Amino acid sequence: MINKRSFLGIPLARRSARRWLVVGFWVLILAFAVYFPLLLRMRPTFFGLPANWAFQFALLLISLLGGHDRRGLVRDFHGRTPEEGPADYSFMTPDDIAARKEAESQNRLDERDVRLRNAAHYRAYAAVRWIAFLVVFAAMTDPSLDFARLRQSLVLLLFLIIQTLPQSILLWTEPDMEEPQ
Amino acid sequence: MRAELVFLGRRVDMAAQRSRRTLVVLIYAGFAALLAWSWLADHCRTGGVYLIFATLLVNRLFLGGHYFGGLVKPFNGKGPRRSQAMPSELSLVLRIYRPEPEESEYRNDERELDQRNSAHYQAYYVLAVALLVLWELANLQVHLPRILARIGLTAELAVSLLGAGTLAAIIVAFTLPQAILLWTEPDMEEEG
Repeated sequence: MINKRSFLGIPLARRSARRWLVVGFWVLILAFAVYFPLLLRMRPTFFGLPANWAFQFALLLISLLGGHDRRGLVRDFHGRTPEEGPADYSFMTPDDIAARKEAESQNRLDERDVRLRNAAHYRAYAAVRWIAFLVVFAAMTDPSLDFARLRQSLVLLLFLIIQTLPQSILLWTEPDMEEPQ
Repeated sequence: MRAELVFLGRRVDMAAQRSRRTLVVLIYAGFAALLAWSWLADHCRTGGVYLIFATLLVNRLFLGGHYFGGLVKPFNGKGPRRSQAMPSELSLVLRIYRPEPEESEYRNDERELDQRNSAHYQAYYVLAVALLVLWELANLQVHLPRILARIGLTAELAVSLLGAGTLAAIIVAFTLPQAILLWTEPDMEEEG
């Protein structure tokens, strides 16, 4: 289920290395959650709103973990599965069909991948369900602008957690990769 | 998944997919009506707590998943806690006493575990989209309050709407995987 054997020169074949990466990632996400309400108060600078830059950085972090496209550390969760059968290639030129087949072969999830993906989402779902209660309490607070910023940050944090928890679980739990032959 | 529902001592046949789908539609229609009523009463400030309890009760009595008792087996595969004491007279009169369940009634086999995980995978993205909508609402309140004012939403009303939206998301979060399982599982075969 893991797409890459290294990231920025760091070998990720060993589980312990992947676990360090996950810890680093969550430290950054928590730092983001703490500082984002403060950044929202800052005035626009020459380079624009600091909060917008922080948000872009958070999106970049999410995309690095993968799960939603082919380039991340974890394979695309939405790749074609064995149960889905062959794709529909009607009204496509032979070149387009060849390109699409190539992309699909890189993106295909086998039975084990689908099982791991679904199991990771099951575990993540249980955590997210309870964290969502925090947002209810935050959502019902004071309508003033200060609380609105806090609320926005909390909902954003939950969104980041939802987007990255299954990938983190997979990176954390997958065993050491075998050496390529 | 169980083929029958025991409600107040009465057995209701749920082997047919159609009856399970009807149950799911009725449950969500009920939640929508309760949410609307709670919104009209006081913008879900007091009704919200009762709605969360109603969700837990619906899981306990009909859907299952988190408790032993509904149609879907407990997701964690644990059986109900039972005391060694004799059943009370009241539970016998109301016919709500149920004997110790067999292990197959709460333990998930490999196929059921796969179905459970798959249902959670599908429900996860519904929750992600719901949260994205809530985040947009929170975002508008901070950055573009004029847009909210233009459509008649004051700051107080926007907060109430965010609260109601989050409440709806929590109801969905606690019920959707079970609803997906009940909706998608085909008709059960008769035991022969």
